[in-house]
Amino acid sequence: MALSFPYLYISCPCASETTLPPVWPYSNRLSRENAEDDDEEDEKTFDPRNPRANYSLYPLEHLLFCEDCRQIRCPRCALEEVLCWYCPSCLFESPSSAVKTEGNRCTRNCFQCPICTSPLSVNALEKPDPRDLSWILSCPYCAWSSLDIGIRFDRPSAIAGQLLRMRNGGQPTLTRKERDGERDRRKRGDTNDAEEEDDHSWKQHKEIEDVDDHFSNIRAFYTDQLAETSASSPFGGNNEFGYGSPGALSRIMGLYSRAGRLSSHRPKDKIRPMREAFGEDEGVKLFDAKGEDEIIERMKSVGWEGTAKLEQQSWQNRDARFLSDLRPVPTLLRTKRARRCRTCRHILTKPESKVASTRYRIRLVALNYVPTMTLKPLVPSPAPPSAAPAVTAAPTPLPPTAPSINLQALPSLIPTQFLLTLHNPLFDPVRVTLATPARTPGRFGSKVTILCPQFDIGANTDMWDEALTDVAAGSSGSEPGPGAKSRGSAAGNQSQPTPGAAAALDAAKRARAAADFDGPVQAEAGKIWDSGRNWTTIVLEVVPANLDEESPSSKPNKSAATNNPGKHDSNPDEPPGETGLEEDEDVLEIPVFVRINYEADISSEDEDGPAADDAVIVRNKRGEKKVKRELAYWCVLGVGRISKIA
Amino acid sequence: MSTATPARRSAVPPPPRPPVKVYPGAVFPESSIFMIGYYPLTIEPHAVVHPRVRFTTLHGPVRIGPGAIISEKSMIGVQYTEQKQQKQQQQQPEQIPPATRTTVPGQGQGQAQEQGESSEGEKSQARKVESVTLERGVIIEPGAYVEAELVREGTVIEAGAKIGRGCHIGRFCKICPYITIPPGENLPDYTVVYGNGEGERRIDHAGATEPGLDELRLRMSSVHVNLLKKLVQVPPKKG
Amino acid sequence: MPPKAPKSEYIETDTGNKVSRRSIILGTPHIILGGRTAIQTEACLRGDLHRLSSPSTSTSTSAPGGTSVIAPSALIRPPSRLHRGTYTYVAQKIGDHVLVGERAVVEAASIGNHVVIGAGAVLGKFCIIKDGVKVLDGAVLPAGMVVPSGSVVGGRPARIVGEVGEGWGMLPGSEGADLRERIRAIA
Repeated sequence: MALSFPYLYISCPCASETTLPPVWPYSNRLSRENAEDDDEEDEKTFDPRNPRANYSLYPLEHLLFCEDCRQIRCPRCALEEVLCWYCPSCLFESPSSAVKTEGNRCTRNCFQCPICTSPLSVNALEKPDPRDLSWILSCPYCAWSSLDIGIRFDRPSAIAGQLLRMRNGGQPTLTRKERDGERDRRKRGDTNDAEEEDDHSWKQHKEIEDVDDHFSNIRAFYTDQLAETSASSPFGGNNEFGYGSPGALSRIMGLYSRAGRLSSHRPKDKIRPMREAFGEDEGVKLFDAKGEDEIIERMKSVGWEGTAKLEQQSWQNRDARFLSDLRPVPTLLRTKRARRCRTCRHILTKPESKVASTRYRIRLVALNYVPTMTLKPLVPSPAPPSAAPAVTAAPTPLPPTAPSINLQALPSLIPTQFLLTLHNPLFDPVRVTLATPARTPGRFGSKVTILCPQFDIGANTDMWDEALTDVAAGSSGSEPGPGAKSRGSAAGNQSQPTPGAAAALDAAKRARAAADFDGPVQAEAGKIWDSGRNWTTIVLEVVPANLDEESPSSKPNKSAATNNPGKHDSNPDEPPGETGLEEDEDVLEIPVFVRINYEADISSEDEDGPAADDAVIVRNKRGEKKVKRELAYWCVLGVGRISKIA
Repeated sequence: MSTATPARRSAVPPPPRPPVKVYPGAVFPESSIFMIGYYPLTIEPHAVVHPRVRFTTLHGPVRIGPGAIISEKSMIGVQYTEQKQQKQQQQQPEQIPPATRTTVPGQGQGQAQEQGESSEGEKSQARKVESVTLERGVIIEPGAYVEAELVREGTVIEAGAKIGRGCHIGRFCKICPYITIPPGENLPDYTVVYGNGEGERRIDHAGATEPGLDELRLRMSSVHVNLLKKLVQVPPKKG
Repeated sequence: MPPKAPKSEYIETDTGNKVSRRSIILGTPHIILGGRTAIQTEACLRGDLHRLSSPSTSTSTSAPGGTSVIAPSALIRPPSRLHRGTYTYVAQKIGDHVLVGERAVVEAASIGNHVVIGAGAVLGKFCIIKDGVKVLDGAVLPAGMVVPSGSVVGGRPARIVGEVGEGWGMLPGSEGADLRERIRAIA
């Protein structure tokens, strides 16, 4: 699938936690405070191209936040607890007892196509004679139907039960009772049948011996054995020293440690050894060369098309070499799960256990604790040299409000500016520090400069303010454009403009933007671009790498990255002119280290118990007790694809 | 209309409109259907053409069989890539068939093809007559792209599928969404093509051997057609 | 995103629906738009394919819910089936904050809230899509498939390939979220 730019992935700190096990947040904080040049592993620049990065990068909406650990939690560092099982097809909940006894598959009418996994539907097979009505399972996608395996049903309900009693081809399978009866009859030694049985062809023989029979035989044998061996004990059949008794395991476990006690306790206890299964009635299946021959014969007759693919065989729970052996696959159940923090076991999310409900009882998602970052190209391009290439990148002349930078083809070596907006979800103002390597890691390093690496974002105070300003902005139909500097100067102090004022400001802004169109607005280093109630926008300048020329700093890595230098020449799939580029190597990804500092209201936990690792209790100017908190993580901004210089 | 000047795009004369023959009982909301070409377009009785279907008869006649359902945004008829089309249009003056050269309705599609070939046989490959014939009860789902020479009765071509030029699709086949059938393929009756890209193929043996199933399918599409005849509206013509 | 069309392209209704002049909407009496829904260029809604037996105006055949976006060239048409000898079209319901991607073909029976249908996805007849589902681009959902809430489906034929995150739809401007902003931007 094509990447859609821009994107943001956050690296869950748990990835580095595995290398520095228990004290990560603490040591990390200390190291950062004490010495910036500490060469600890997590102080290294995060490399999004590292294969390991795949395991720690998550989109923001997949991340959770543990309030007790004050840390981001990803699906990897959260434990799951099953709340309920349900069938994704009929949406019926399966009680956990049923899951234990009947397995994790739907026991109603839900089946998947053995050919293509589509959900099968139950269709009536109409005949001219209305009494001759039967039902089949049929695939709405690949047109497979249970007719392919010669099965039709009498009723449209309880298909699973009906299917259980039917072999492929339509003959009934023996019920368990019948099977037992059959076995007993044979066991009683109807020896006069013996010769007759030898004459039976292998085929007929096989008809009796299928997997279910096999299993029922072997189970019956062991049941008998258990009964026999237990019967020898002095306490009758149901004593705690039989093989099948619940006491058996503990007895075996304690065989050596408490041997004396046991032997003294039960001196007479002697268990007759179980004998091995012998013969077909007891579940021994001997190799039969005739069977193999028959399979080969069948392959000859049905050909390649009649055999099942490995993938199709793997969906079946028994041997199925041929398409005619396939059975409809009962739908796997799905679960609703709660998540707990792996470290402190607090619940992070807990959905309502009802299948139909989509609500959560507890939902601590990182969205509510971590600033969201959005990236937008800055238009019109501020620097004159970049103006011309930007137009070539997007040949159609667009209105100035539309992005004129094509993120799928960023021009190489042309400084391009982006607006990075951070929204603060917290109820306290935060100070954000951003850091990024001057050159993105990888063979082709792009130069990245954050023009204002440290800034404040206002608190997420009142929903109404935002709603009102939103309406105003919406009615004038304009995003804060370039030239919004007047608002930028009001950073930090929480300006809460009334709707009318905002609209007026907006109009003035646009007028100015229009007037300044020839002389583009220049982003200044060290200053924020724009800010609002709980958001701040800064400018990010990127010089995309030249894809024809490797950055000198990363040259030594090249041999490691492509340990086979001749690989690309031999690859016929490479489009001409793209040789030497590995998959997605032209994607511009910027690793950004984000650190958030804020002072939160003191919670009862902080006062009573030991404060969390990152919590330092301070008094602010007004003398209120506050907790100083810090959160730091790496994230990756996917900006776009770099185009080659034409 | 066949000038090859570079300014052709901006100053195009109205595109050629094919002679259309719509039989009574067919649903053909003509105002919302795109047609281009010189060869005749024939819509047989009880065929239903949804709005926004695109017919191209630049390279050969198109015939929609009785009871066929052609869904929205599908494209029927052989189309060339831009380059070939230009080349073809340059050669048009000698190639435009007279409007009288309509295929006789009810005539077998094979004959139509042969006739085309015999009269145009001496001409180059690029100008071979490439007709498209959909037989009785064929269902074309939205966005499908059918250039096949022949699609036989009861076949379903689902959304977004592409059937290449010169294909012969057998009876009661099913082409799943987004499947591409490369040009010149012959699919036997009851073939199901599913999956991705060119897909995987299987023959629906059970469907073929089960008595009465074919009739059932045809009957189903015929009741569908009867309903559509009552329902399909002609969208108002927009400028 | 295609370049924005000139302003006059959309007709805005009293309830804030934005309907492209170049969309194809048939059988308007049978279509109920929930308000603040955008129907973009060449999108096609087939309200004319309605159930015959019921009085025509009382039931909606196709009902995109409030604050939804039907992207360019998408096709919405109600599902049909042969039921007890008669062939009928059945009403279709689409929830709030649903994004139907470009060129998607939707014949589903119902679509829940906060659903994203990828570009070019095909939703077969009588599919049921629950709340908070993401259908990947180009997925082909076989007829009658039920997608439980919070799933990600994709492939041909579609299977459930994953789950959406817990924060699905909570991040403004992200997938599955409130579409108000996006609709406002359409002009």
